[in-house]
Amino acid sequence: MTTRDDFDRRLHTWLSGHEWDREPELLLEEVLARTARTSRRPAWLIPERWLPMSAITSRFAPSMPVPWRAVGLVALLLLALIAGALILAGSQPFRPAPPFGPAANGALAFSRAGDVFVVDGLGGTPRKVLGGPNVDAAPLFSPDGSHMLVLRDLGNGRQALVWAGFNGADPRIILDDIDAIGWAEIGPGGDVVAVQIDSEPGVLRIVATDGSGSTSIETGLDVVRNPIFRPPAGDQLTFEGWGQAGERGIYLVNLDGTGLIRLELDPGYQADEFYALNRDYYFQAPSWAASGSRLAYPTLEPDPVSPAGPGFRVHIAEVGPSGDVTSEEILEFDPAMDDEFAPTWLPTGNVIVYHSVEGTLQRMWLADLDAGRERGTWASPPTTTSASGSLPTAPRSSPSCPSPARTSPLCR
Amino acid sequence: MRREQVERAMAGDHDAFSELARVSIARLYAAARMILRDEIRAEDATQEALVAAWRDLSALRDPDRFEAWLHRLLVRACHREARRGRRRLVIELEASRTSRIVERDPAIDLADRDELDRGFARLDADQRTVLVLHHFLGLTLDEVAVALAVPPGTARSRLHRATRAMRAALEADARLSTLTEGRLA
Repeated sequence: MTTRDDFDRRLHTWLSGHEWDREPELLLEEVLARTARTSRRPAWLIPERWLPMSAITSRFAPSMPVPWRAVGLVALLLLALIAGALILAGSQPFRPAPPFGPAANGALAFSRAGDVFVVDGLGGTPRKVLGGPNVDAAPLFSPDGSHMLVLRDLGNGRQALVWAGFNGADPRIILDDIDAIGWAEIGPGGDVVAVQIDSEPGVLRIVATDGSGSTSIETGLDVVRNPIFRPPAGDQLTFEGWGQAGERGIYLVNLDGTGLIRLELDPGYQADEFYALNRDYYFQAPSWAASGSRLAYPTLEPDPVSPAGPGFRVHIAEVGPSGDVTSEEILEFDPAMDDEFAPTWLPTGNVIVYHSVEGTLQRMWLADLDAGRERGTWASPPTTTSASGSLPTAPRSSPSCPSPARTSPLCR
Repeated sequence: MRREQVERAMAGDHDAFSELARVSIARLYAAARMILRDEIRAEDATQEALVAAWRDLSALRDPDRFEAWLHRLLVRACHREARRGRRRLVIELEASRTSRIVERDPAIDLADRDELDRGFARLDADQRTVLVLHHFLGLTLDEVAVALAVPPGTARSRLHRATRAMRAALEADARLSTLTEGRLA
């Protein structure tokens, strides 16, 4: 028996030897009085049930059990996105503004059993690009498709970030031996990566892809998460933040750490009836249009017409270079929807893809925000998730609507 | 029986939830008290966890996972309280009141308990959390990982680090005692 074992046993004996006689007086009564007057939150409103939302806010989680339902829904989302993009591409030519837009080589990267594979399009033969004893996962292509970022599991909860060519050539560690990474986003120029590390609350790391090191941005916030680069220059980061008083918000900061600002979005949100109870659902995953002047984000709105009560709605804000919000509107495409959320811009800069929930029906939508072209279409037919968690069949795309059903640029 | 109660509570039966809360609350409070080292904040965290459980119960997919889910809610509530506590230092400095938690193992003598308690107090809330989940609540490492919402490997390394920190805290305490005794002599 080693000394260490002795200490473990001593610690275990002491901790497990604690017992409790009872909770403080009246605590149970207080809890039950509160729960009796607390409304149940509908299942759809709870993050763990929000599979698409959780999927887009958990970029790196390779060691967790595979959430097959989430994976299925994300695959559905991606297929719908591709289908929708093809519809638009067929009807109107667009030229993505470099460096944003689809990667030119068209390859897909994925990981399996600690190795990274690349496949040339759907149906191609996967080829291993990173193998060997290292445990690599979660490959991300750089915006120009020339490189990939890979998460390496070092064991004991430690991780590293690896930067390699798109075919796995010349892999090198650019961030070594760190705690669990919550998020990593490659800058538009492929020269830096923004990283959020779980054990560094309030801190964003900017890591150079040439291996020259990293700098930290100390935001002074309790929580920062999901940093994204602001196009087109990529010299600013936008992220979700929780202030020290618990307030939620979307923030902007320069890459050198200066100019930190909380975007003045959704004025009056604190007065929402449900804000105190539901603040975790305000100011969710933001998405920039390619121009970098329009920001879309979903947030909870207290009074949709939907019988489900408060629900997500997409907001679109015009944001100046230093973070001043010059205008904002709520895009309520259909008041009857329980939720409309997860907006993502197409490279055209005037079309968003978003997700809607109505009861058990889930849909993907394309919405053209250009007032001069009122045209919209499903990106997918309505789908339901059965109690057993099985997923519907692959999405199809409906033809474009001949005329809009309402003044909104969307039709069904 | 338990599963049936959870299912009834999931369906909105407040009486069923009350029974679940009644059998869980003392254990949750004791764990929160050990993590937070403050009775008032432990009460707040326990209350927050149980209210969240009632409010969000429809999110639970598997009734058999109720307990694991409750632990996760408690850990979240404790972390929130711990963050709040850092900003309200005055609470940290309040003299600890008599604890309702008692130690039942006579194999550990009083001096040893005091030493361990002092060392434990030197840990941060995250370190205390992983030790409480594993040793006090008796969760396996996989269950600890679920409660902390981290991969199992991370849970393992956190437990290892917390144990190491506890050992270092005890050694520091011993050095301090030696120094103090030397000065008083």
